[in-house]
Amino acid sequence: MTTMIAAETRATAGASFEVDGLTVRFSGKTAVDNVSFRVAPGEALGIVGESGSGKSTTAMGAVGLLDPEIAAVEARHVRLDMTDLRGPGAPRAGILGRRIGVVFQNPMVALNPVLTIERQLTDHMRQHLHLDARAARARAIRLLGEVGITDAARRLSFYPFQFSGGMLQRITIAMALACDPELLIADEPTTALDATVQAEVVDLILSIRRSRGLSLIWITHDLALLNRVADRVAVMYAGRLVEIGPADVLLDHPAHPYAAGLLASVQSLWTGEGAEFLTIEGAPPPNGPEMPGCAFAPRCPRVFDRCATRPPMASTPADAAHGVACWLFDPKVQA
Amino acid sequence: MSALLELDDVSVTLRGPRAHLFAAPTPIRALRQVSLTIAAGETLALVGESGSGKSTLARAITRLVPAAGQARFDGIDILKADRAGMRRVRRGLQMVFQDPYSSLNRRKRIADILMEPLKVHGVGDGAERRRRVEALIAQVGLNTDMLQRFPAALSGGQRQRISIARALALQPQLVICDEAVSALDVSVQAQILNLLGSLKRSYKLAYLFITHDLGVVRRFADRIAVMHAGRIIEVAPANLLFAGPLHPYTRALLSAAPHPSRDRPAPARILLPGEPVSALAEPPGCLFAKRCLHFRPGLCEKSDPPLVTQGANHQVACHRAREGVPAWMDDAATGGLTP
Repeated sequence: MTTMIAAETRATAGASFEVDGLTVRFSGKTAVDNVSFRVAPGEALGIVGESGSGKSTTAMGAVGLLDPEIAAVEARHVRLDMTDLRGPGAPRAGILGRRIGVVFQNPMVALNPVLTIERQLTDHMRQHLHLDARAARARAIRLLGEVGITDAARRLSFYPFQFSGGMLQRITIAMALACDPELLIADEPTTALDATVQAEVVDLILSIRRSRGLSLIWITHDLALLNRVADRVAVMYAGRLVEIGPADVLLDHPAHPYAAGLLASVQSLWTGEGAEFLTIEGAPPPNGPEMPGCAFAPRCPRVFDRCATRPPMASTPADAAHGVACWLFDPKVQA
Repeated sequence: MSALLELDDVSVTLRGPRAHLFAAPTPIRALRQVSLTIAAGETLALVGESGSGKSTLARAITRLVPAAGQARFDGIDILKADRAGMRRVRRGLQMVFQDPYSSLNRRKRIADILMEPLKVHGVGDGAERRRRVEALIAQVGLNTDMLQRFPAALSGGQRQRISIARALALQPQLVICDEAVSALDVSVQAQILNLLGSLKRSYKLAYLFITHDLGVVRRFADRIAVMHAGRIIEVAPANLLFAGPLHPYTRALLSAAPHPSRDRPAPARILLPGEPVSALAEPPGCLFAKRCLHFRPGLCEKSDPPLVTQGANHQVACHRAREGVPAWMDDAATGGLTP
């Protein structure tokens, strides 16, 4: 029994994914500014930030999903295992959709309303895996079973409007998994769903990640959710990466004043006392990271003169795997 | 304490899809006999998933959709009031919408947006109105420079402050906030909640605070009403509801909310079988029965449970909860928990 299942769902070990020096500009305006990170094989990295912080643009720019007409993407390199996705002669077509699967926020928008589920599920299988119609159909039925859709053979002929939002998101997850990817990018996959459905979809993605050994990038604005889904957490602010580290360290003791303020304001909703909630005063800079110093300095409660120059990403004193872009943690300043 | 707003069996039926081109539209019972009170100065949170009828209730109260039943605001029957009556209602009952981008007229300056309700209701002369508008903008924590700007020049949080200022212009007693902080980022959300809280204390405002986000209501609300499929299924003071929810649906909803602290182990999640009930469903029994982990044959599918008082301030619409000591509350025994 066990061997049969193992043979059915080929265990694809996750690939490493490395982004170095990614910058994205929209008509000259910087949206993502020199972002670097690495996802180890089988690891789940959560990217958290508020709207406009560049978290989706970072992931989509790295894998080549931004329209080159409007977005100028630069990077020293973006690598999936040993394959460079951006260098000259990079095999871009064929990586996305095959080795990298993407789940988007709103399944109603991600699916084509006038095509059947079967057509949408099997199209890229047939293209990437060169399957014939019957083999693709059999694979689609198995995938729908894997994402918890019962009566899959019959429902393949349905159109998107015949499913609820939670079911549609399961279908887009099946689509992302269709060609056995090594990296799954989930861009706010539960934000458009109701609370109880949200929790089910989170469970589903996590169990698929475990059974397939996938590497995972989970983009969200919801710090509380990262408690459940991430091994490591990257915090973005105004287009820049401001902190990255192990989830249990970062979510307990964030080092960057922005990450600390964000966590405190979320926690004060749940556990605080008294009439006032903790906030971060002010608002993110409207023009993104186009300032010489730290982008958080105008709102920072611990700002000092060095903040007028941009801080580098440095290890925190406690943990070499925990990086923070803040002058407070610069060894020379602390000494 | 007398009620500021008193709803009695308020129902809304919308026209649903047609089975075929010439068929009569299937009625959608968006609101099923909702009864509810809000006292002066009280914050009542209305929570529930999309399609549960939260916004329909707000629209029924403001007469944006036709409704049956009785809704009394400050002694006036809203659903039967004439034009003059509705003008009085609208002075005392204002609304803040979810999306500050679409709820402000982008062609008007902030000063004109805030001036409009004062003009419509004939408050003061020009000088008096200008003075009031300047006071309003200060109340919501913005600078008077803002008055000459257009909404496009403001951030999301600033625009929501303007929406709140506009709602306060006529010094209402009740403000309906329909997902008023849901579109905002976390750090800005807390700023707006603090603003709403301090305005409430200064002016004895009451709020009907509609949200799908349980994290927001825990500390902000005095009482919480939970909606499911067009009905109110549980009402209780906030601390009581979070400490001991009685309805099986409320229990599942609370267990699904992620908690932002790693100190304590995540509480076991209650998994509901099946899919949410359709708005077209017309079962004779409890609308939640099909998904309920505590369903009892011969009881739950026979009749729709009424909302009854259980304990001092706690109301619940569940046959099983009426059985007395909720020994049935052992969710683990049903096998519906995550391991």
